[in-house]
Amino acid sequence: MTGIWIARFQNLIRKPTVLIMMTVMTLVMAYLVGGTSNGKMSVSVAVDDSELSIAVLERLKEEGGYSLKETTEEELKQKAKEDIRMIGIVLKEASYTIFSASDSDSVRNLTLIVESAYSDASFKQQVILAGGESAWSDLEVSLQEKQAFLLQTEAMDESEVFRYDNALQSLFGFMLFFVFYTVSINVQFILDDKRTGVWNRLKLASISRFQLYFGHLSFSYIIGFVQMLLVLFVFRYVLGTNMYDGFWKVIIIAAFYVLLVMAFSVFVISLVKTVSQSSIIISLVAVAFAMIGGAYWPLEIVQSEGLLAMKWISPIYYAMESMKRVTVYEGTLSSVWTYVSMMVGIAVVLLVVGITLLEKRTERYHSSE
Amino acid sequence: MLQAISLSKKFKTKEVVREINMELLAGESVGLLGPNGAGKSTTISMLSSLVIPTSGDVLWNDKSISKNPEPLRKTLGVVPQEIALYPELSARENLAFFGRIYGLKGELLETRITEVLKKIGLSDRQKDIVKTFSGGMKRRLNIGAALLHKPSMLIMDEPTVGIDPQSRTYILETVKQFVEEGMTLLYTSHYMEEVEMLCDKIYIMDQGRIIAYGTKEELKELVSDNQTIELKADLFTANFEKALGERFPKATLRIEEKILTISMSKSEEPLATIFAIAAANNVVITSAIVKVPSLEDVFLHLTGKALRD
Repeated sequence: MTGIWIARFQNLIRKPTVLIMMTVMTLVMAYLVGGTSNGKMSVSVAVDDSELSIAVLERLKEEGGYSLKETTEEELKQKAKEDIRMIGIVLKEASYTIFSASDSDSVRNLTLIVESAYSDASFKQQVILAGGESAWSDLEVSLQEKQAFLLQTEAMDESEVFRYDNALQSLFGFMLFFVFYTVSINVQFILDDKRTGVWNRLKLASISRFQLYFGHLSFSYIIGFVQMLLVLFVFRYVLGTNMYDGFWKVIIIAAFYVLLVMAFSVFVISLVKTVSQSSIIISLVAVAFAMIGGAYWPLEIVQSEGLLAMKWISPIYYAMESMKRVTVYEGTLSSVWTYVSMMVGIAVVLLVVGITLLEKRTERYHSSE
Repeated sequence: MLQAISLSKKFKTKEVVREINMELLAGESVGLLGPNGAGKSTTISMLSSLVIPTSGDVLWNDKSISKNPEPLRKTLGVVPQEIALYPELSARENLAFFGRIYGLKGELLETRITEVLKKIGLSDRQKDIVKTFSGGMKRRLNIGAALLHKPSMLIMDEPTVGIDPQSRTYILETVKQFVEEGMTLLYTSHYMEEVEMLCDKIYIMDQGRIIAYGTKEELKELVSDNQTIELKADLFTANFEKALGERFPKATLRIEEKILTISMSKSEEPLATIFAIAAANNVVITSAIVKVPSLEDVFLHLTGKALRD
């Protein structure tokens, strides 16, 4: 097995392009799209004196994901003309206006929060109008009492409050997406060894199947994991990205994600004959998984039920959700154990099926004469 | 001694090797001849313990290798048809990799690599990356990778495919030296002259079966009653070919570019008749050679087709 590692390492040194490219791409894309902010988006806010708009402003302050700068409507409009990057919001009694040059995820998220805040504040106002302050107090007390008897249920993919951090969304998304390629390309080495006859040479040297697979797969695993570590360390300690005290938890989740991607890659190479066929499948599948797994945008903004249902087949989904939960939602590792155990479970099934099919394929190489 | 007993192999419904019996004694050099698709590589894979036979068995020193292939593998070197090397590594690094896999390390590994590089004539290119090598050099290194653990038996699967004549000669000379040094050799090829040059005993395979075996002389005896006539002309017309076929119905005719090869019984005296038919069909024969039987003729006689068809 040491021999396999040395040969793989020598091959990597001679051909480091894939690892370097995927790492650099992750760093560049995550930096460009998500930035390195401490997670807070700067928003200029103009509020009229209505109760409703003040209530909405309070709610925005509670959200914590925004650095709010209060200003007048005129100033905000003037600033919007001068600075194309500015994001501003005018809150009024019966309406609101958002100023933004782009329709980004952050802006869509801000819109969702404002709409929800208006809806809640309006409901409260109507209750007070109909029955006075005491009616609202009664309702609040009644709701709290009922909650005491409620069975607390929490679905895996549901959160009470939607929280969003653009920097982490981009970092995790691009990191999970690009490492998919790194690991897959490394796993393809097995297919190439089988095609060229190196695999048979190793078998003739009495290397056991376990040693052969373990040698190759452990190397691919380490390379993928090192790439993720590198990206996370650069963002955390060089660029200072806020990870909400969840940095080490993210690393633990990354370890399980690499295992799942490695197992998936083994499964893919067991279905094809050549490295180029495998590359095509991986390229298509990685993009599709990133889209449905929430790597490019938060799944909370996706409205298609069909698309949401498909997230369960994407390895990226499990890692993305877990990573967001232990950072943005400040959850513990035990709060994501379901995702982690699913990653391990799927990985084991894919590995067993993949290696079984690969062994059958090995024999079929001999039938090609 | 390596023995194949009623060896068969099926891939799904396709039976690629059928009831093969072979024997390879220590120090012997044996050739396995056959056209592409004859089942040579599958036979070799079963003999070297890489593929499990559908039926039959392989014995190494009278013990089945199906349950314990280790004793065979320790003494066996296999040179596959493919270039089973890492193209990004140097010649020395490749040999070091395969040497380590065989458990060699330290000074012993370095010494063996140096010996093998010398043997295959690549000492001066040992630090060069394999992907920069010519086809012939890659083939030589492919052989070298099978020699590191000093095997006493070598199985070579068409080791000269797709290389230039100079490299081919070098490889054949090297293999000949192995044989002279006492190494047991199983050599497959569809080049008759290679097998004739290297092997004492020859098995001829076609469509998954052994159709003949023996020494070169014994095999040639099979066609001793035959003669081969090679005719050259600018153009062989269809009418001429048809007329020849009608006149010599038991003969085998084969046209390759401007050469017509006729295999027929020695009892016939055909030259005068052939010239007469040529004249009648406006074919101008520029040369006619009556040849002694070769292994190519043996193959043609046994299968009705040329080895490289």
